[in-house]
Amino acid sequence: MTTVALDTSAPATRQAVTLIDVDCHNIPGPRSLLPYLEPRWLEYLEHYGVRSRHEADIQPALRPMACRADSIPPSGFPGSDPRFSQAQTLDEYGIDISVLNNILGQINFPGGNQPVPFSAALQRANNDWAMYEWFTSDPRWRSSICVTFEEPDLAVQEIVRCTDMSDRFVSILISTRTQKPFGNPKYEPLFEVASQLGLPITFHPGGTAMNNSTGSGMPSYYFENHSTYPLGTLTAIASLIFEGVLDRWPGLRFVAIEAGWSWAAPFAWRLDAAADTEVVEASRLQRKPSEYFADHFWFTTQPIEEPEDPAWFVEAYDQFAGLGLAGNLMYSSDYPHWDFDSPRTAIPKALPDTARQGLFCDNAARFYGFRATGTDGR
Amino acid sequence: MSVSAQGLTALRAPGGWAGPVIDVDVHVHVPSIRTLFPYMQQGWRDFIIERAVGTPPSFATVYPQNAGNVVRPEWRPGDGGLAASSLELVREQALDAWAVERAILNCYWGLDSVRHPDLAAVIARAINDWLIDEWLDRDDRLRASLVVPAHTFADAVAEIERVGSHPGFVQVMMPVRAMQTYGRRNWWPVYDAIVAHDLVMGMTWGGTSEGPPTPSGWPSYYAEEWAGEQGVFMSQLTSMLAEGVFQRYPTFRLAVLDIGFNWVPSLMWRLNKEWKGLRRTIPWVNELPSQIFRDHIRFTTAPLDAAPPSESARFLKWLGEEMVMFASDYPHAYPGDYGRFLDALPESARPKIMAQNARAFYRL
Amino acid sequence: MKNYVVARTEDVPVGSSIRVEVNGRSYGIFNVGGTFHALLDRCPHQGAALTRGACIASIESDTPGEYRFGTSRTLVMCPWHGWEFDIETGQSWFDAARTRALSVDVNVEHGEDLAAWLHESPQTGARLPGPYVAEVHEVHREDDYIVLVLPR
Repeated sequence: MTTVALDTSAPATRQAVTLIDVDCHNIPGPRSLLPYLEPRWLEYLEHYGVRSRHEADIQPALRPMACRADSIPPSGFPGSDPRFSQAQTLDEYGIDISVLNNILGQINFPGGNQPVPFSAALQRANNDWAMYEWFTSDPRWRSSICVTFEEPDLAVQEIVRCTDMSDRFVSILISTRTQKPFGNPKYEPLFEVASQLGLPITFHPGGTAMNNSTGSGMPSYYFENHSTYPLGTLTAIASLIFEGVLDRWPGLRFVAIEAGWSWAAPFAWRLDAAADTEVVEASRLQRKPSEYFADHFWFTTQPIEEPEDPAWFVEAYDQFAGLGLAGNLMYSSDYPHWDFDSPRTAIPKALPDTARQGLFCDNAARFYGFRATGTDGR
Repeated sequence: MSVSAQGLTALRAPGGWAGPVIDVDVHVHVPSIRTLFPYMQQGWRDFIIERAVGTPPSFATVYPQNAGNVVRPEWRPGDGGLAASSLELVREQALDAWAVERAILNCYWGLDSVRHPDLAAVIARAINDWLIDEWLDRDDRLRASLVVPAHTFADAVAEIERVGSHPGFVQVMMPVRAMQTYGRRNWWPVYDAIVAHDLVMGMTWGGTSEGPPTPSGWPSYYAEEWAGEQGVFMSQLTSMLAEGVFQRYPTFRLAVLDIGFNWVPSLMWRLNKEWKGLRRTIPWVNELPSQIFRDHIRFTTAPLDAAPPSESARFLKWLGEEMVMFASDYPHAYPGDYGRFLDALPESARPKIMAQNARAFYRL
Repeated sequence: MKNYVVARTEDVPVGSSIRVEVNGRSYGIFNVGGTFHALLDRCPHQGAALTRGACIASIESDTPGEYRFGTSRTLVMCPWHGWEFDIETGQSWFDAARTRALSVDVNVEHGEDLAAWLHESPQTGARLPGPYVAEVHEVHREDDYIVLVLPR
C-alpha cells in the first residue's frame, strides 16, 4: 500500500486564538467512508450494513438525524460536508479551533452486534475520513480518535496509528454507555496509552446498547434519554475514582460532553459522603473523591444550563468554581444537533469576563495543549 | 466526617430543634423469616423451611450487612441481632430520641428479588400484617408504607386493595430499581389502586431490575454503586414525568426517599430546558416540569452528604422550601449534622422541613 | 411608522415563510391559511432564523395517549431547539406571557394602488397611509404585495 504523506499539521496563523469549540460533529453520510474501506468490508457493509443497534431512544428525535433544521448540506446529510460545516461554524462564528467528535464512530461503530474486525475497519475509515477530508479542508479542524473501545487492545493499535499520522488527533472518543463502568480493569490498556501519549479521553453520550440506558429498562421517549445524558458520565466518574484509576494514572484527563456541569458539585459531595461512610473501600484511595475533580474531569457548556431564575446561573457557576473547577469548563456547540449552542448567545452575559475567557478559549487551549496565541496546533 | 448517631440525636440537644418533628423515613427490619410465620398458612411455612428461604439477594446487594452506611455504630444491637427489628429498639433509638410527632416506617425486606409470584404475594401479605400487629397497632405515632409484590402487577393491585384502607398505611413502597421504568403505562393498574386508596407512592432505595443499575453495566465497588444510585432515581423521575403519570393522575403524590435532594435542581433545570423543544413528542406534559415536580413530588433530607451546609441551603432555595421533608433514614449512616444543616437554613424553612411539609403531603 | 413593500403575495405560499431584509434586520413573512403575518426573523432564545423552521400545527393533550391535532399550521418551530411560536402573535407556546418572538404588522396592498402612489412624490399627498418604501424593484399593477409596517 502506498502511503501519501500529507502535511496536515496545523499551519501557523497570525491571529491569536480566541474561540475554541470542543464538540462539533462530523457525521459520515452513506458514501463518506466507502473510499476508506477494503473490498472485503465494502462487500460486508453492502450485504449486512451496520447492525450495531443505535439506541432506540434517538427515534423519534426532535428532527431527522436529531439535527438543526438549517444544517442540511446539499448532500442531504448534516455533518457530512466539511465545507458546509466550516461555513456554518468556523466562518460564521470566528471559531479558531474546533474538535470533531464523530457521532457514528462513538455510537454505532464501536460494535456490540457485528463482527469485531468489521467494527475496527469502520473506525479506521472514520479516522481516515477525518484525516484526508477534514484536516485537508481547513486548518482549524481537530478530531478525536474513533476506536473499538470495547476491544481495548485493538483500540490501542488505532490510537497509535492515528497519532502517528497527525498531531491533529487530540483525544480518544468513548461513549458514556460502555459495557462496564469506564473505570473497570477491562479498560486498563486505554488508560495506559492515554497516559503515555498525553491524550485526554472524551466521553460523549449515546451508545450501542450494550446495556439499557436506565437502571430499570429502556425509556419510551427521546426526551427521557436526552435529558438524562449526565447519567453515563456520573457512572464513569464514580467508577474511575473508586477503582483507583486516577491514583494509578495521575495524568489522565477526561472531558464529559453534553452532560452539563451543574450536577458536578453536588455529585462530588455525594461521592465524599460515600467515601466517608464506606471506609473499607475508600481508605485505599489517595484522595477524597471531590479532590480528583479539578485534575481529572472537564465539562462542556452545551446544553447550557437554564435555571428558572437567571441569577441562579451565576450562583451555580460559583459553586462549580468553588470546587476548583473554574478552569474545567469549555465551550461546545454540538453542531449540527438541534440542541446546538451558539457562542454568540448561549453563554449568559452575567458570567464575569474571566469566566468567559476561560470557557471560550483558555481552558480548552490548556486541556488539549493548543497554543492560545500566535500559532495553533500542538 | 463522622457517621455516628451524634449527628442526629443532637437534634434535640439544648440549643437544637425544639419544634415538632415528623420523620418520614424510619426503616424497620423483619427479625427473621420465622417472624412472618404467624401471618401465613402452615403450607407456606413448610414451603419456606423446605427451601431455606432466607435473606433475599437484593437486600444483601443494596444493604450489605457490614457496609458502612447500613447501621450507625451506636445502633447495632449488642447481642448481634438485627438493627431496627423491634418497636422497643426503634422507640429508644429513634422515635423518642428525637421526640417525633409522627414517623413513617419503611420495611424494605427485599421482596423484589422473590420472583416466585405466589411466594412473593404470601410474604407481602405477611409483612404488611406484621407491620399492623407489631407496629401500627402499638404506637399511635406510627404510620407505614405497605409492601407489594414487584413482578406481578395484578398481585400488587390485590395487596393494595386488601390493606390499603388501613388508616396506618399512608404509602405504597415501590423500590427505585424496577422491572420497567415507572412511567410506563403497564403500571397504570397499580397507580389506579394507589390513587383510589389515596396513598402516596414511596420510591425507596433498593429493588431489582432486569439489568445492571447503570447505563454502563455493573459497578464494582459498593461506594461507587451507592453514589451512582442517584442516576437510577433520576431516570425514574424523568420517566414518570415524561410518560404523563401526573397528568393521568392529577392527585398523584410521589415521595422520593433515601437519596437526598441536592441533585434535584440540576435535573429540574435540564428537564425544563429540554421540554420546551421536545414537548410535542410528550404533549400531555403541558406545563413546566419543575411545576409538575412541585405539585406532585417531595424529597427528604437523608442522606445529608458532604456539601457545606450553606450549599445545602442553596440547593433548598433552588428547589423550594416546600419540597423537602425531614427523614432520619434510621438506622442508616451518613455524614452530616442536622444542627448545622438547620442553622444554615432560613428560619422560615426549618419548621417546614422538620414537620409541616410532611404533615401536608402525607395528610398526617 | 413606515411601510415597506417587501414581497409579492405569491412569493409566500400557504404554510410557508420567506425571509426579507429591511434596514439591516431580517423579518419572516408567514402565510397561515391565506393570511400573512410577520415576525422578526430571530428566535428570542439564541437568535436562530425562524424562517428556517417548519410551520406546524398544534399538538395538545391532557392525558397520556390522547392527542388533539390542530388542523391549521399556525405555529412556527424554531429550527434549532424546537420552541413553538404562534405565528400571528409571536407568543411562545410554553410561556405566552413572557417569551415571544417579535410580531410585526403586515398588510397586503394591491399593486395598482402601490404603483400609483410610488410614482407620486410623498409630499403631494399619498393615496394610502404612507410613506412607502419599495424593497422590490418593480410593482406590477396586477399583483398583490406584502407590506411591513415598521417604526422607522
